[in-house]
Amino acid sequence: MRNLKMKFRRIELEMSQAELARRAGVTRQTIGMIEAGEFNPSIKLCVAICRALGCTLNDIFWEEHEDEKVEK
Amino acid sequence: MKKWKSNLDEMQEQKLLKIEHNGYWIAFWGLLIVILAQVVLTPDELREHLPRIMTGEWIVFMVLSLYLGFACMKNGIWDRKLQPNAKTNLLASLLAGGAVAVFQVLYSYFLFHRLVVALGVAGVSALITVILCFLALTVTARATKKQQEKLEEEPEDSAEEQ
Repeated sequence: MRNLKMKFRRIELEMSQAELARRAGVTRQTIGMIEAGEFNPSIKLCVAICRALGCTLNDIFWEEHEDEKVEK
Repeated sequence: MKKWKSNLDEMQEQKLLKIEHNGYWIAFWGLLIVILAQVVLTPDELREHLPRIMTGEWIVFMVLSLYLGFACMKNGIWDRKLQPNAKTNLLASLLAGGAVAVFQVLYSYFLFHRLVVALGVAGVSALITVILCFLALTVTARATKKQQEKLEEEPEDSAEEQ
């Protein structure tokens, strides 16, 4: 599944994939693949990306199920 | 087409990749040892048939090596520690030349029982190895760098689609 939250947050900060990659300490292709949903990052990399984007793991990587929304 | 569900969880998947990784290197070094052993241990009367005797091992060894090389180049991967530059390429070529020289000295001395001949053969073999390795590493390093640059190019849609 594509990670649009991550992509939107990056665009919101007017940050390129290359810049985010540099801040997270990975290659641009890794960021591209995470956004495209083709690569599942480790928690360590998720944290590095969240730090670079100035947000939490919940903001970027948490997907709510329909039943969870109803319960709330 | 229905996708087969994996029986493995993430940790097991990583373990399996590690096992497959070890399997690759066991096959690689095992084949190299077998090829060298065949070169050294083949009796004199069968020596003229040596290329035919070790064809299978040689083909599998080359397939393993070429697969690893091209797959890494395609993905812009060079090495975990080393950079694709002239200095490290020369160092790696010298190491390969050194390994060939040691093998050739021992092998030639075992065949001819003359140290001067053995040293001469080893020197020439090492020099050829260094030159060929350096050329191959230079060409592949250039191709890998080119691929890295291509992969690092920002796609056009990366800042759109909001």
